[in-house]
Amino acid sequence: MSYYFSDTFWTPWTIRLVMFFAVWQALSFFLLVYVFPNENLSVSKWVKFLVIPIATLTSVLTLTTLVFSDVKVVAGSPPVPTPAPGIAIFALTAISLVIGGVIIMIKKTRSDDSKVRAQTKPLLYGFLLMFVLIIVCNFILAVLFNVSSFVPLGALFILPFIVFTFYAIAKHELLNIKIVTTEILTFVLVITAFVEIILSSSFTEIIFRSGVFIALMVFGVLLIRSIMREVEHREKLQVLSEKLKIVDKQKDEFVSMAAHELRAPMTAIKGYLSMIMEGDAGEITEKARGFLADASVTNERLIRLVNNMLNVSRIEEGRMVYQIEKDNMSTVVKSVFAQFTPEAARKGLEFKLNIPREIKDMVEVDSDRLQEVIANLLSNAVKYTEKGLIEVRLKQPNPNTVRFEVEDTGPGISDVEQAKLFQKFARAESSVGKTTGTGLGLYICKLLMKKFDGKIGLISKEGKGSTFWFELPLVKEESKK
Amino acid sequence: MNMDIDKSQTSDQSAAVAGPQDTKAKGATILFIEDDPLLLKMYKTKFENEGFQVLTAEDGEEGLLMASGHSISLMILDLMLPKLSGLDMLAKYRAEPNGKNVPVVVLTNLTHEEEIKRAKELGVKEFIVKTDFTPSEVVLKVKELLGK
Repeated sequence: MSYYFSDTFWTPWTIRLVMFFAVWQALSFFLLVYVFPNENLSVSKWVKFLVIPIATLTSVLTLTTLVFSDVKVVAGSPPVPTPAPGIAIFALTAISLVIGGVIIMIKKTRSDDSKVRAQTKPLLYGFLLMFVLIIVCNFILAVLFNVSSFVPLGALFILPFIVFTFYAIAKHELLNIKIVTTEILTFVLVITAFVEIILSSSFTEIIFRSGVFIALMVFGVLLIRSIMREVEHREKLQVLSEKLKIVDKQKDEFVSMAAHELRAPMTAIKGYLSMIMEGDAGEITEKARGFLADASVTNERLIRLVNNMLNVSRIEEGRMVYQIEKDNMSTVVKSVFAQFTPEAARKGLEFKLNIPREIKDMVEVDSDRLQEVIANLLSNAVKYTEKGLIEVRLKQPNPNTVRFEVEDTGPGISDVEQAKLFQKFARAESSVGKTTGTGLGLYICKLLMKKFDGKIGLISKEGKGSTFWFELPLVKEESKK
Repeated sequence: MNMDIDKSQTSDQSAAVAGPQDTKAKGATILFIEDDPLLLKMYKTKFENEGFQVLTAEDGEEGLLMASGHSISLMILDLMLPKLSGLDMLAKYRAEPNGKNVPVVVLTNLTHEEEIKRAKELGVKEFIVKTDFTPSEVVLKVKELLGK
């Protein structure tokens, strides 16, 4: 293949044009590296007023006789350009641009920002590969070994750089592929439409095809714009959702820490109160005992509240640790019932426990968590019932299930509120008139019951009291040991 | 409420009489490692009232020294401790010849899943969330473990 022109007019001009584009190539390489991986072409003053003007001037210079004064064409051998003094300026500019670009690239691969590092590395590899190929083929092979058959491939050696750059773009979503694809497609369409205009054979065809061309242009631009906007929105959304995740994590850490810090003093209060009541500090009067019991009840409520807050964040994130064991439900119910006896008595409520003697109640649960469920239900019943009766029952609706019920003579709950009662932060406000509590208790009960393969619900009518219930599947007793 | 006093009184009386089941627990030496002095005092008082010998330590390092230097029947361990965390301390203690088989109860207020897993690997028998138990209930748990 011969790539030499033998024309005395075209030969110098081809060489000059090659030099001209070489300057622009070097400049675009420099600018690409300089801006990368940002999307906006914002450059500093010295680039704007020094680098770009010098490169432009040099490129103009290459078109004059100042760089190559003449090209000698000898038939059968390569043309020999005669260098002029301007070639020094060309060399200086092109080499400086390339070296400057490489330095910037290396700097960016050592950036503090790990993202910039990861994004710039492919670029550097691509450049090195291109550089090595050019040195090997155009210099080592051509000059030292006199093998020039690879020289015509010169233009191809830039491919690795392009491929690696494209990889960096695709992998790290630098420039949005969606936008780039749309731009390319639109460009192809518009070019095709334009070529069709040129190839038109009649005036009407020109008019018609010009119309198509303009329409394509307009819609293409609109399309690209809308996609750019969409991508922008998506990027914003991504940033926001990242922020949200961080804030959410901080919230959970805060709740955990706060709950922990609250638990220590509550433990001390609970412990000392119980010890005084148990006689560890000597005999106390009946009246003092009553006051301590009230303090104890209030403290238990506080503990329940903190537990609920802690549990919600743990259950929702799947961080809750369960110690699932076989346990008799009646044992758990009795112990929680005993906890609430003083408070019910203080409010003057009749407080009854009804567990059939022959009931099967072996369940597989985390008994501490089951206690929390029952305590939440009993706490609600005592809290919202001002007079009358609270009855706690165990039932056997079928041979494989045990059912817990707590029935109160409280105000009852309307159908509308029943529907949202087990949701997070829900409280039966309107019909009950009390707004204390976090609205987390029943929500946690529902989550825990789901965990234990149980069901939970309520039967209630406004003014007729409420019955909260849950059911758990039984495990076979003989597998107990 | 009355029932509660009756219970503690009877258990005190049985302490005086020293029933056969309690002999193991009574006089047993318990090491309590807990960084909150108020809680430490509370549990120490309760356990001593129940007839236990109680050693105390307020951080992991002190706890390890105490455990190595004494013959103890059971250790009650908080996990969040200054200087040396409860589990790191326990790992070192388990590596000592006299620390291999001592029963350990973890008494804490906040546990992470990994901690529970690691604690179980280190042979922890019981996890107690402090706010869920009164001191006398902790005593009951300990008696149960020592009675076996």
